[in-house]
Amino acid sequence: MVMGKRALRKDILREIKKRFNQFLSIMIILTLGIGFFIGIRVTGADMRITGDQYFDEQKLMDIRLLSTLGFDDDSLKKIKSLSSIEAVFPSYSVDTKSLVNGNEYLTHNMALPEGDDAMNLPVLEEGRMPQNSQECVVDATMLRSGEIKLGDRMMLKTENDELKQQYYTIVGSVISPQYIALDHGYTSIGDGKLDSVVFVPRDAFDLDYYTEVYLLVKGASELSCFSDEYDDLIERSSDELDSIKSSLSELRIETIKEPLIEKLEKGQKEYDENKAKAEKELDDAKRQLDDAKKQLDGAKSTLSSSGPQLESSKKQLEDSKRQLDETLKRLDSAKADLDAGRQQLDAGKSQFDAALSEIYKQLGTSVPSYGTNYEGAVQQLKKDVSAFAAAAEKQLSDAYKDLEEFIKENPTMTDFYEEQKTQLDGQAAAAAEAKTQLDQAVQKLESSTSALSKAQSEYDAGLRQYREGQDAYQTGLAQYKDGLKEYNAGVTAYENGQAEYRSGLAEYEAGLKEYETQKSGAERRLSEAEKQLDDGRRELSKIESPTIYIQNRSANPSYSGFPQDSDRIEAIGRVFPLIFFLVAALVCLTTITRMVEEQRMQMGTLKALGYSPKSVAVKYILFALSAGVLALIFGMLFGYNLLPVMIYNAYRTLYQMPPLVHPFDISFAVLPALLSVVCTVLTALAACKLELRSAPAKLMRPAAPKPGKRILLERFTPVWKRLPFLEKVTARNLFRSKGRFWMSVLGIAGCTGLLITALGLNNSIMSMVDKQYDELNLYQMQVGISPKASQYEIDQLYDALDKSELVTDYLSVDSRSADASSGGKTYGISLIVVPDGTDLSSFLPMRERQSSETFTLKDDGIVIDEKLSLLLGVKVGDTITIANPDDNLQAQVKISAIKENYILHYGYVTASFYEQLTGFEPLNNLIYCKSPTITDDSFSDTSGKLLKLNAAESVVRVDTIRGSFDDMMKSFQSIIWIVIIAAAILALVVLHNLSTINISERIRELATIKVLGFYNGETSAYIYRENIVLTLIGIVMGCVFGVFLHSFVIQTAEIDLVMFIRTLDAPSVLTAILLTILFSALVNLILHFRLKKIDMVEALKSVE
Amino acid sequence: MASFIELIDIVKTYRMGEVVIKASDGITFSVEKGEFAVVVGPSGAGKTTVLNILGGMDSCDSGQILVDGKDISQYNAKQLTTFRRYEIGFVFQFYNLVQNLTALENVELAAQICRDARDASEVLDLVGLSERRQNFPSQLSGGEQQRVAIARALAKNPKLLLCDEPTGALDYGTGKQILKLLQDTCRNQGMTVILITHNQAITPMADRVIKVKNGKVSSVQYNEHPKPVEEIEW
Repeated sequence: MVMGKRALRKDILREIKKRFNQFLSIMIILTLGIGFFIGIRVTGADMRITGDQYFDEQKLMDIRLLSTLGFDDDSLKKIKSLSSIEAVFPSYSVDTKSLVNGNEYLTHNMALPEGDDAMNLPVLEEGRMPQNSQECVVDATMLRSGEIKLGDRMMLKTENDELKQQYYTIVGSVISPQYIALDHGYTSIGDGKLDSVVFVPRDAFDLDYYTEVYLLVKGASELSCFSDEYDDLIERSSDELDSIKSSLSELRIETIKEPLIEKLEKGQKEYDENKAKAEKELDDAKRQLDDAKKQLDGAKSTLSSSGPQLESSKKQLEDSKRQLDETLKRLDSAKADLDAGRQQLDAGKSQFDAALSEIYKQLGTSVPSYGTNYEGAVQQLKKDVSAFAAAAEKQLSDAYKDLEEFIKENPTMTDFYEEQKTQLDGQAAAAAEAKTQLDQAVQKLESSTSALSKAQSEYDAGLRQYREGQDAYQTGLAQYKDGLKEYNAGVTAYENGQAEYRSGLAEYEAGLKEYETQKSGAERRLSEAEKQLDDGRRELSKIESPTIYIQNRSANPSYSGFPQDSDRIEAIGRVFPLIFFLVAALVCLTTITRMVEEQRMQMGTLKALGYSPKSVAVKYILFALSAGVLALIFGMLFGYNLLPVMIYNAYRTLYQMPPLVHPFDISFAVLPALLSVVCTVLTALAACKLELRSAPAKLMRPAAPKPGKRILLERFTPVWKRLPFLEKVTARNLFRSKGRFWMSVLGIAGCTGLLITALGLNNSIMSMVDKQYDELNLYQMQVGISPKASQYEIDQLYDALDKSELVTDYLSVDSRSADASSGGKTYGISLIVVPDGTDLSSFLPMRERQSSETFTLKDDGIVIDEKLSLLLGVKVGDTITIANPDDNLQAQVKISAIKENYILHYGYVTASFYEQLTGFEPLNNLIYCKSPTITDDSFSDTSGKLLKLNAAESVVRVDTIRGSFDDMMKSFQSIIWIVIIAAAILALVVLHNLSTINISERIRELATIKVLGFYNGETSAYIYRENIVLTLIGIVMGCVFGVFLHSFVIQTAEIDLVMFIRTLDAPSVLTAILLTILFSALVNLILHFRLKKIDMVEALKSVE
Repeated sequence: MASFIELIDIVKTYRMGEVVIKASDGITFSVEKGEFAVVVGPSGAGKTTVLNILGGMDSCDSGQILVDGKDISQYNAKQLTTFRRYEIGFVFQFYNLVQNLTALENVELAAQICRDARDASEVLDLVGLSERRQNFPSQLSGGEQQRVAIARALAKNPKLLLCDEPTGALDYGTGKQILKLLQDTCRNQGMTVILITHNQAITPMADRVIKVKNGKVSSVQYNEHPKPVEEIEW
């Protein structure tokens, strides 16, 4: 027989109303348990759904392709042809320094997606989208500080005119699915850290290649982007892309190189032509010059030989001259002698001559010259005389003849004839006379002839000699003169020759100089041209295989953080609900127990009436169950809607994401519903069981009040005696009801434990970042060395670092990524190769965490971080595998020490050890820089300078990295607050419930003492004392519980990459304790007011 | 001459929603010092209400209550508590002993808060429970428990002893014993005792019998010669 349904329902409802507080307590705690249970799981799931939906709606690319040479339409065609690719969308972007309102920012400027295939669609937040190419929209974070408003003008300082124009008006702000957090990534310009993102219209870009290509993978949007299937799908697609990487590279290179090669070849041809021409001209000229030179040389050698010749000639001449002079002197004296002789001769001769001329006068002829041949002259004279005579005779004869003939002819002219004849006779006579005279004279002459002739011949000989001598002298002189003339001619010629040579030389030199000038001019131009060609060729050769980067979404800044955060929430949240369920079970138990105790008479009556125990119990079960069901409903509301939104909104301060999507998935509620039922129904049954077993009669009698019992403490008489009376009461009361004792203690312990865990977690997480960056990473900047830099450029970089005022010390290492594995597990690490003998203590102090002992890096193995050792399950002395296929690294390495480290994974080896492992020398590519005085400005300044050097690929400020970890960890705080609040609720509810039960159970007692005249304060204290002791015991237990829970949560919640500080710090524990005491005090306060209200009269009336 | 205790026109109504109950509808009576008064009437007559008001556990809507010259009807809650603390001793029908305390401790509980308390052991001796000092109420019989309750009330050295059906939960013999104790206390200690009961049979033992009916005093009787309890049979 079951109690009439209507009656039962009424009864339950009234009961609920009567015990509303307790009903509420059960409900609240169960709600919390269910709410958290569902909520935390749902939050994680909803966050992922929200993210996935957002990314799908905004068509966030699955894969982004970047190339050091950009992409062209041919590349696109090739990519489109791949089977795994759904859509391809090329775009443009450029990083610039940007000026707005006088402030400079570093922005990543992207083309607004347009067209059907558009991807990465931004969501408009304020203002509107650009309508022409002088307008732009910016990332919403940029407007947050208030320094920039809509309508401001922005100048994008492009370095290579990638944009058609530089000025844009900001007309709106957007949120981009590519940038879901406040971190915008890094760049190679300025100080390396991007401030924000700007979107300009696509046609504002003036590039003939695409800077990036976005891809959507087939089937990806149907999967959740945070799932493993998605990762696999993308990886397969990436592999497919990887397989065409090289052909894409080749294609791109060709496309780029073609026009360049053409140009180069044309240039080369021109060059060759011009070169040949120039060479020919120059050769000709050279030849000419060479000839000239040869000539000149010949002339020179001639001259040079002439010189000495002339000298010797000169000398000869001078000798000759000297000789001649001597000869002349001799000749002169000879001459003088001769002259004297001559004079004699002359006198003789003149005598002779006079005589001769006399004679010849008579002859009427001129004196024939006879030189000195007196004999001859005489002979001649004789001849002449004879001839004369003959002639005269002949003449006369002739004349006579003539006359005869004349007279013959002119016979008349006798007179004349006579005259003539007379004349002729006279003449004949005269002639005869003359002849005789002559002959006399001649004879006279003849006589003097021999002397004269002798003298003459002497003289002649002398003269001959002298003449010979003179001749010789003359010859000599002539020779000398000739010689001199020759010499002079020679000298002149030499001088002329020299002059000519000089002028020739000058000309030559001028000519040569001209030649040289022309030549060098030509050479310069040619070499310039050649250099250009070489540059061109080098540029061309530098255009080696472009590096194509295939990036998936995890390359977006903060992208991975989002699902990781949701994972973390879930991890933490797994534990808490259990606590609530446990406490809820206890609360339920005690409440129902109390209820049953109070209603035993009724129950007995029903039993007596014949109702089965079960039907009697039904009421209580339904009471509990209805609390459970309501809790389920509210818990679901809380868990599905409130908690996720609360947690998510806390995250939204860090992330730029749309509001949470929370679809209803009932599967989350199944387990909690089950637990809820268990909690309520089973405990209610348990509570009822005992009572129901009793006989009805017993039930109907008022319950024997619980016997007072001596407690253990009483045995310690010295202590017991000293206890003030009322404390004794408290002590005994405490241990009266085990259930209640444990419920309270556990509730408080739970509260304290949760608080300790929450606060300790908060501290562990926050101070982890501090510890890492204050004690373990003692450098402030990191400079990445470009792998393509030459040794010279690298030296430049070191030079700049040496010179920098900001950098006080630096350490170069080889940092490369590798996989560390052991026992089938693999984790990515950064392998840091440290130069031998480096003292790391001022950069990366190596110490063992628990013992705080420092150690040095040795050549005998690898030093890994503690978290890694935990993940791999290895210890010092074990061997792990370090591998990196790209570097040909695969080695079994012994762990020589384990280093205290909290963020990311590292393996440290010395350079020699590395060489031992790989056979290669390490190549330093990372410089840790100490710059203790670093400020925003000094960093900006220094990094700007460093980035200008080719060797510096990146300059990162460690504070920035630290800041992003801080942010990451901050997202924990929202959860921690929720936990704290939940803990507070737990404590409050439990304590309140306890007090309520206490009061209701001991209402008669309380009323009695009130009647006895206890003031309100004293009455409250009567109960307080118990509460306080329970609280203290609970706190102590809670501390123990908290320590374990804290440790547990840390190990489950921490993501692989970090190691939270495992030690619980005292302030957290103290705060937790204080808070618990506070809650307890709060409850006591409420209690006080309740006690005040106790109506003594009513209480005393009821029969127990 | 003013009586030791005077109730003048006490009115007390309870309102529970629409229902208005006039528990006391103009109660007036007085009790002299050292008297053993019995307030008697059927169930629901309003006796307990009177006792409660008299004991400062409840307030009246109108009227005056004078105890030893002081009008407690004007007292606020704290004053009432003080009044109760030092002036009143209660004995309940269901003893209302603290289960967790021994007999001695129960009496000490009351003694602790009084200025003028009597020694707890002494009082227990007085009620004849010297042997049972260290026993918990659960180890005592009903009569013994009630005696502890009386001892508790007496330990306070009150001016007035109020008893609400003290024998209600006891059997005939034990009940008589208790009543005797009360009577003796009244006579020997000079304690004013007001006892409430629905049992008409015991009225002979009282000095004054106040009959209450329907919230009003229906009669007040004086017994010139109260009978000793042993002689009363019912």
